Amino acid sequence: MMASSAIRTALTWAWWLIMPPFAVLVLRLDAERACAAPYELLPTATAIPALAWLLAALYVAAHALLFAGWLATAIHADALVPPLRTIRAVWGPRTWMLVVTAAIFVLEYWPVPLWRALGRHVVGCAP
Amino acid sequence: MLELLESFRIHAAGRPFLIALAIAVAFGALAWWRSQREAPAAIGTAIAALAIAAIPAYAASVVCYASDDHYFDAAEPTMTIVGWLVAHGQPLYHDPASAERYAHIYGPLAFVAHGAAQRLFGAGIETSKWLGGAAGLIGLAATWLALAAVTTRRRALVLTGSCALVYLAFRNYTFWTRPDALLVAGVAIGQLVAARTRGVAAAVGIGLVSGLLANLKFTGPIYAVPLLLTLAFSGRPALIPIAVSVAGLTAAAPFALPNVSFTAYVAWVRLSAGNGLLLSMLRQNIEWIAFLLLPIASLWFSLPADVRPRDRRWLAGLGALTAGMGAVAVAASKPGAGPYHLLPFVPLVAFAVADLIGERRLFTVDAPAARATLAWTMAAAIVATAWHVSFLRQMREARGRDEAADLTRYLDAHPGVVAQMAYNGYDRPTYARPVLTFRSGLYLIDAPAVQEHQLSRLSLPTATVEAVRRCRTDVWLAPRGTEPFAGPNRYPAVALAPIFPDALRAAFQTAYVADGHTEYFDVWRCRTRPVQ
Repeated sequence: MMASSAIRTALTWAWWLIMPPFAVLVLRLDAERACAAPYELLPTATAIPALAWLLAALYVAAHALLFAGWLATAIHADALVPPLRTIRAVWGPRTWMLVVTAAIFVLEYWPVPLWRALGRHVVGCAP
Repeated sequence: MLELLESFRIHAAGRPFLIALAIAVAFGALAWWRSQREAPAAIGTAIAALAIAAIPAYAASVVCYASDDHYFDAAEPTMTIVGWLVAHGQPLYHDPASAERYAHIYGPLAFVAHGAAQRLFGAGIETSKWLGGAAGLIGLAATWLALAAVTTRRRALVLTGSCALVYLAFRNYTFWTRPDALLVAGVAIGQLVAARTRGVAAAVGIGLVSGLLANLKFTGPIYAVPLLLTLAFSGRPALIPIAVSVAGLTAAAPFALPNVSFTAYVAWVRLSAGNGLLLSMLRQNIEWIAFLLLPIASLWFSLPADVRPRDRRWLAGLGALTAGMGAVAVAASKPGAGPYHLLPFVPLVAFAVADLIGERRLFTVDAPAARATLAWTMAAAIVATAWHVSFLRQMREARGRDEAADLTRYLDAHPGVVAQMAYNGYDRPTYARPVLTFRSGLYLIDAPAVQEHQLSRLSLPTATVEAVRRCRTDVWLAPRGTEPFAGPNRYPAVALAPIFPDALRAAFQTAYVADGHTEYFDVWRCRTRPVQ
């Protein structure tokens, strides 16, 4: 239990380090999906190798953090899909971080056609 | 029905993890509706039936593909031609300023293997295709033999079938002429060596395979790490230096050939490294990693807690596998790459699963985990069906055309003529171009290479334009009704700019004149050199 508590603390620190910049990146990518080329995201930045590697590292790190968070919870719950009450029991007052993480990933994995429709019909920015 | 499947392929087949998730949620809702707390007993049978059926389907697809003398990807003929050139003493990685434009960033073995096959079995399109086909089948057989070392034969067969399902979801990528077929087979053979041999033999075998993998692609060593790790946990860590030494020697061996330059290879790889990354591709790669790792997670939770492996060997292997997949996901986000770079991990994942389940009883606990395993298999089967129906249709359509025979007839009628292919974008008829190089020994322009070079901001050199202006080639054949050397670069990063510069098109128009046609190609001959 001591070890799992240390892991949760480490994950919390990692969350503060990774998730805010990842959230900003996701919002920027979604803006591109809605209003610009949906599959050629941030073309100027990703054409510069150093910047592209940095963005890729942030992107992979956010996914690794999500995976680590799920693993820590699933092992504690002893189930592939941990029930909500166990999630709340494991993470306590930090449960909001999971909610925010889930929201960020929903935004990132939201289908591109829906972003295009949003850009075209609601924002009016897509061609 | 076929149109529906095609629409599904285009819009959803690239997202198997989300499909598996959707199926699992549907199963969960159904179980909740029926108040079903335990996994149905038939789950294991359903998974086995779907997976085992994929094995004959995969074998049939390999045979169908290899016995057809058409290519289905623009870079497939490149492998055959450059392999043939290397086997005949021409440089593999030409100078960036030379007139020839065919250098790619694949390792030397990717081409040397094709050259050797053509030396051995005769130059031909089918020879190159059978090399990939044999690699696909041998890789699958090696996987079964490796898995059967740690689990029951039946489970090994089901897991091998699951590998076949994933392979089928990638069209012909595990048996095409590009290096991926050899990479997947190499990893499977390496896994077999790691599972079945011990001591120095294992070290030498794993070292040999690791060296070959490094020689096929610069990402090859990443696939070899989990294999090398098995030596670290064999109780004899002294074997690792032996394996690493053998790997180093094997990787270096092709560079001892006089026409394979290491410095030129590094220069081309470094040039390509500056191409940047596509974040949309990175997302797709990560989704595929989640999909490929899902069976490990679902089966781990399907086992009773007291029999789950928690030893350092298994966990370190899983860690190396996951870290390697993450690294490849980033490298495979380069323009022109994609999730198929993860394919060599498939035999390694299957082995991790086989090692996990062994002969232990499955699906006794955690019903959602059992349902997730079935959902994974169904998602793989659906995606494999969608991709393969499309691929089989493409193969059937190709049978109505015979560009290679058309080129052969033209060359037979004009003995001694040096003919090359004039591209217009990526026209399918140009895929028969190896026939031209087999006769003339010349390969001046490879459109996929030029496209890659343009992406790396390397312009077509003056030497190439001069070679065209001075009629180094007697005849250029362009697909009927197309303008030679027109057409855009397909990479969005270069904003669909023309692949070939105006200078080349002007030189071509100055030096060549239209002179009739064959069944599939317009003939352009040198103005100053009539064709006999």
